[in-house]
Amino acid sequence: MKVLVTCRNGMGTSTMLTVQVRNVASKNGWDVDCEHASLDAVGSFRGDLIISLSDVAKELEDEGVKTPIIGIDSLMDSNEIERKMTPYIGK
Amino acid sequence: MLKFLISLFSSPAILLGAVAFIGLVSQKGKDATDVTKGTIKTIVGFLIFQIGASTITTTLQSFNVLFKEGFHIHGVIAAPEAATAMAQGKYGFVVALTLILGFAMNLVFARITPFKNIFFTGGHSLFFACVLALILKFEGLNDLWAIIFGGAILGFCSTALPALCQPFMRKITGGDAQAIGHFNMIGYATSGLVGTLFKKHADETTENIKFPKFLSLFKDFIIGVAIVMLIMFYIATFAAGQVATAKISGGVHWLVFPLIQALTFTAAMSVLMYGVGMFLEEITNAFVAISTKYIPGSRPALDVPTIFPYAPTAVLVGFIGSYAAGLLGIVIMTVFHFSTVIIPAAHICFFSGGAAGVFGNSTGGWRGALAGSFVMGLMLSFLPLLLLPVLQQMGIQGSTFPNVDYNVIGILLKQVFSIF
Repeated sequence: MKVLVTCRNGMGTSTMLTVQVRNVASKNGWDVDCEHASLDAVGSFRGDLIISLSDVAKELEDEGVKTPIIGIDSLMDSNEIERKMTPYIGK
Repeated sequence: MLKFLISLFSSPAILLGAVAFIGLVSQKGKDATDVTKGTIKTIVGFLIFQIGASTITTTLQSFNVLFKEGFHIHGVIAAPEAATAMAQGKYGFVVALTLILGFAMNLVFARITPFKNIFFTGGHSLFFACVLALILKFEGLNDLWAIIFGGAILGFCSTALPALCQPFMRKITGGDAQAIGHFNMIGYATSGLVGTLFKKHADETTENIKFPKFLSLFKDFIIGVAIVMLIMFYIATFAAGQVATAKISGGVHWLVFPLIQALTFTAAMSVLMYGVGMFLEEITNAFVAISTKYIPGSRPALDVPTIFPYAPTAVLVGFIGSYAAGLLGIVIMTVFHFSTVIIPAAHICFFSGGAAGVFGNSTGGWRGALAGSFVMGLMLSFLPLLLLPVLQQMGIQGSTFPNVDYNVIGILLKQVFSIF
C-alpha cells in the first residue's frame, strides 16, 4: 500500500509522523510504502492513503481530494494511528 | 588515503549519510535494502538542501543590492532557512557536526537531568546549530571547540527549554504526553503569560470567530512566502529605479526581474525544505529508536503544527497579531533611522505567531491570543537586531534568524564571551 504523510511545510510534523506510521506498520507486519512531503505533493499523489494531522486532513477533505484521508489528533499515540489505519489495510 | 577520508567526511552530506548508516545498521530489523535506501536518501536530501540554499543566496543578493540602492539601509528578511542557507558554503561542516552532537547531547541531558524532553523538530535544531556555529566561530574558537560547545548548548536547550512551555501545554492538550519543540519557547511561554492578563475572558475563545477565506492563503507556506517576497522585491525595485535594476538583471526587463526573482526565491525555499525533510528522516528515525529504548519517561517535544488542531482559528489570530507587530517594527525602524530594517517573513509569522496565538488563547481567550502573538511579533522583529552585527560580519547578508530562543541564547553566549 502506498501512503503519503503530509504536513504544511513537509519538514517537521510529517517527518515525525512518518516515523510513527512506519513503526506501526512494521509492528503489525503491514506492507506500507510511505513517503512524506508538503501539501504541494497531494495533487500529484497516486496512491492509496493520505495521512496528516486532523486539522489539515479536514481542509484536504473540504478541498475535495479524492484519495482517502486520515487525520491524526495526537502524533505520539501509536494506538490512534493503528486504529485509524486498520480499515484501509489489505484493501 | 588520509587525504581522501578527510575530503570525504568534510562534506556535510557524506557526514550525515554516515550517521544515518550507523543508525540504520545498529537498528534491529533493518536489511541491506533499508540501509542503502536510508543512507543514500540522507545524502541526496542534504545535497538538495544545498541546491536550494545556493539559489536562495543568489536571489537574496539581488534583493540586497536593490534595497540598499533604493533606501540606503539594509533590508533584512527574517527567515532562518535563508540565513542558514547563506552559512552553508563556509560553515557547513561545523554546522552538521554541531547538529549531530546536539542530538546526542539532548539524549544525555534528558537522561541525567529532570528535563525529559527529546526535541524532534530537526529543522529547528539545524538552524540553531547554525546560529551557535556562527557565534562561536566569530569568537575565534577552532572547529573542534565550536562543535563541542555548540553541541552541548544545543543539547541542553533542546531538553530544558520545552519545560518553560509545559504548564501551558498541559492546558492546551489536556495531557502531559507531549511538549512543544520549536525554538521560540521563551516567546510561547511569554505569550501564555501575557494571555493570563485576560484570564477573566479566557472562555471567549478564538474558535468562535469566523475569518474571511483569503486569509487561509497564508496557511500554504509557498503562497505566504511568494506574496511577501513579491511585495518586497517590487518595493525594492521601484525604490532602486530602472537603471540600477537593469544593471543586475542580466538583460531581463526591469519590471519582470523582481517577479522572477521573488518566485525563484520561493521555489528555492520549497526545494530547501524538501531536502531538509528528506535528510532528517533517517536521523529522526534513529533518534526515536534510541530515546524510546534508553530514556525511560522521556517526553517528545514536537513541531508547532501538532498543537494547531487544538485551536485552528487561534493560529490565524496569532498570524495577524504577530505580522501586525512586524509591520509596526518596520515603521519604527524606519522612523527612528535604524541602520537596518527587519522584514517579517509570512511563513514565520504563520507558524511561530500562530503557535503564540494558541498559547495566548489557552489562558486569555481571543484577547490573549491577539496580545500574546503581538508581543511574539515584536520579539521576532527586534531581538534579531542585537545579533545582527555578529552575523553580518560572518557573511550573512540580507537575512537573519528571527526565532526568539536563538537570539536570547545567542546574546547570552555573547555576554559570556565578553567576560573573558
